[in-house]
Amino acid sequence: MTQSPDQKVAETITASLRGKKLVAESRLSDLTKKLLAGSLTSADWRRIAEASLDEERKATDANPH
Amino acid sequence: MPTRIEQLTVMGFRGATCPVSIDFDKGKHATIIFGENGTGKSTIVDALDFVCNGQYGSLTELSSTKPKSHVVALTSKAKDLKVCITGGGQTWSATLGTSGPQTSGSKPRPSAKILRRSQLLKVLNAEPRDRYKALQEFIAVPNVQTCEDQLREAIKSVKNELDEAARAKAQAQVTLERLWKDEGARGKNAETWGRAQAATSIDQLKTQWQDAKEIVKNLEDCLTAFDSFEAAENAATSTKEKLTGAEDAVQVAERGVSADSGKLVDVLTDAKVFLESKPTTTACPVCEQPIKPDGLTKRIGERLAQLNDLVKAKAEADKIRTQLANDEAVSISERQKSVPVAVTLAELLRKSTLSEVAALQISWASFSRLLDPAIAIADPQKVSEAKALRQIVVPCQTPITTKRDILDTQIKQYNAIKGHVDTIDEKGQAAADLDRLHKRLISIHEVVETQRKAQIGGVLDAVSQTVESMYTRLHPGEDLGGIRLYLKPNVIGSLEFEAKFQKEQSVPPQAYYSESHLDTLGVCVFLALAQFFNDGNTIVVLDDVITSVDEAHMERFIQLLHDEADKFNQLIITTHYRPWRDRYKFARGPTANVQLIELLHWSMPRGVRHTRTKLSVEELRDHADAEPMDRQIVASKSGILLESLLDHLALLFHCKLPRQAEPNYMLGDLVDCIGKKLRAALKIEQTDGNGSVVSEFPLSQLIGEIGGTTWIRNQVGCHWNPSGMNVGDGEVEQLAQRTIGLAECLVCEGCGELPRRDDSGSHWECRCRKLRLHPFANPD
Repeated sequence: MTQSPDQKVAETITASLRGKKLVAESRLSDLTKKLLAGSLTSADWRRIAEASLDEERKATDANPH
Repeated sequence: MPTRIEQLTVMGFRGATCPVSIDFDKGKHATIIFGENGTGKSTIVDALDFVCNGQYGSLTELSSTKPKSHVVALTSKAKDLKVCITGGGQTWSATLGTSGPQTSGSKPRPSAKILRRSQLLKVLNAEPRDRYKALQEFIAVPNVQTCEDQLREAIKSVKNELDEAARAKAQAQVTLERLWKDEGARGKNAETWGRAQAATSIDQLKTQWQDAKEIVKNLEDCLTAFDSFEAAENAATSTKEKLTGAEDAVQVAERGVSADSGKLVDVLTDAKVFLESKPTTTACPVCEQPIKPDGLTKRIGERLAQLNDLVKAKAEADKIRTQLANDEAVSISERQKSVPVAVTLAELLRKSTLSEVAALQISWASFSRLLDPAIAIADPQKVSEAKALRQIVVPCQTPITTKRDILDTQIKQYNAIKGHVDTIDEKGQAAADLDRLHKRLISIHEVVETQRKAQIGGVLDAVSQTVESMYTRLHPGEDLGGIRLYLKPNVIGSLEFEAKFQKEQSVPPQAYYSESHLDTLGVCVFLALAQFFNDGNTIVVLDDVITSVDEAHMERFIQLLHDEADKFNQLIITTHYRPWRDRYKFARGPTANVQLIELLHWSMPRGVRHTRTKLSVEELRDHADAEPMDRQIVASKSGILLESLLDHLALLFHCKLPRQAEPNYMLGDLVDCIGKKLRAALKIEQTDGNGSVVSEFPLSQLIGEIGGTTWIRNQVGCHWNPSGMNVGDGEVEQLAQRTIGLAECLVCEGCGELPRRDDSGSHWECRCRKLRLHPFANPD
């Protein structure tokens, strides 16, 4: 089954966000689903970005060097 | 395994006034449905749209129609409307519900990509926005776009919060700067100063301020209470002095009457009051002797009048006595209030560390009874000490009040500085966090936007390349092409389109291309998009998209369609263009790969009707086998088929023919143009499809025999001719059999196509390459 344009773009977006490490890995699966469904809200994006920054901070705190 | 539509059944839908079923040959990729205008082509295509896509089809493009009403056939009711397709053992159907098409059947449904002529015109001629709409099914990403819009909202919201935090921080900095300057601008800068100030402990200040505040309050209470107490005491003293004077006046008055006159006045006054209250009394209440109340009352009055000075003096004394009792009660009450306040004040003062209190040098030993809770408030010594304390502390009221106010100002100043420093820190931290969040959201948006544009751009680039490839195959050497579909940057929902014309690059093709060139271009765009999003199940439907194409372009167009048809699950084409049908009828296309359906005349009582299009060789065979044989038809059809086959050979080998304004060559011309050397060299080879020759058959003898009997067509099949009457049925049948024989030799059994491809460079071959025709070039 060929992917719809939405599906293709959603997957390339997710792959690019993963590659650039802009979104926490734990959030990517849900992000793809919601992108495809068109259901990501403004608050969802904010939570995703905040969670990603939090995880980065925790990782830095755990391994400062 | 992709599912092809094997049967379409249409009931009560548009032109299907009677139920109609069309069987599709599942072994063939392509189906051509030929029908003149008004025979039901759009009904069939719309029925496919209805059942596959849940759409009303072409009716939605007509502004003057109400699709839900007009989709129902004139002779039917909405409840009777039904469209079914079957394929791969499954059935999908659609009916007309209250909200529109209601589809049923397992998922996924067959996906039908339908291109109509009206849509073709939109793709080519419409404004970029409408062109985008016409093709948005292929390129739009509405769900991702919605999420991207929400992402922009998030960025905007965070930016507002960031600005607000930065503004609050800046405001705190400005205010701190002002405070710093007011305080003499000490230290490096306002923030350094502020932080130092905020770091200072103000516990002592707070303690002293609390101390001063309580002392000031209690001191005020104490002074107020003792003012009231003193006033009450003074009032009682004054009243007492007045009472002494009044009692002296009573004694003076008594001395002027008799010694006991004071008591007598009391008795008389009481008796008078008694008698006035009981005017009917007839006996004295004391001696019980009979009395005359009126007379007695009068007499008592006279006697009291004689004692008037004494009576007045006694009354005044009694009044003052009552006043004194009241004053003494008030004094006691005020004392009860004042002394505890003084005790509280004494305790505060004793514990206080304020220098202003210390300066009073109070000797607390002198206040031992005041501070002793076991001693009653009424104790005179305690009251005396309270009064003494009150006198001692009066001088410190102003300095302690001043100190309290100074401390209050200092604490407020500290709180203000600390508040601003805290705001700077908190808002600064918030701004830093929001700035990181804002930057992260912007980075995410860059990815989303870039990928969306890249995806759509990638699709359009790929589609443009495919269109270019198809179009240059259709129009080789015509200086056309350079097709590019693209989205303008920063413009949503607008699809631009440009092409090459002669030496001009990037021109709008609709401005320079002919109608037929635009038709083929539109079909190429659609096929390229359908191909790009082909999922193996895609059924492509072209609804009457070609109006007129010349011979050379038609041949290339058919070839292109068959090449592309292999990439789709199923290709269904409707056309009213008869030459298209006839090319298959005379094997100019791969008839074995194509199912030919022909729509018959439509009428209200009979609705849409159809039949299978017979190939010309099949028609000839049927007529030749019929009993009795129709000589004229057999001769005529033999001639037409022969002309078609020989015309093909003449074209392939560039045979010499007399120049004519229009190429209306006679059968004899076409036979004769095949020269001796060519005729001798003509040979058919059957291969196994892998290049190995299985059999071969020279054509020279057959063509020679045919050349000897072509006159039969003219004499029997075309004209009233007495000579023709002498021609036997056997001779007519022989012409037919030789014609069929030539057709069977030249038309591939596998693909049903004449050999007309020159890819090998050594011979001509059919589409499936199982039939070869030699020679490659005309030896004549």
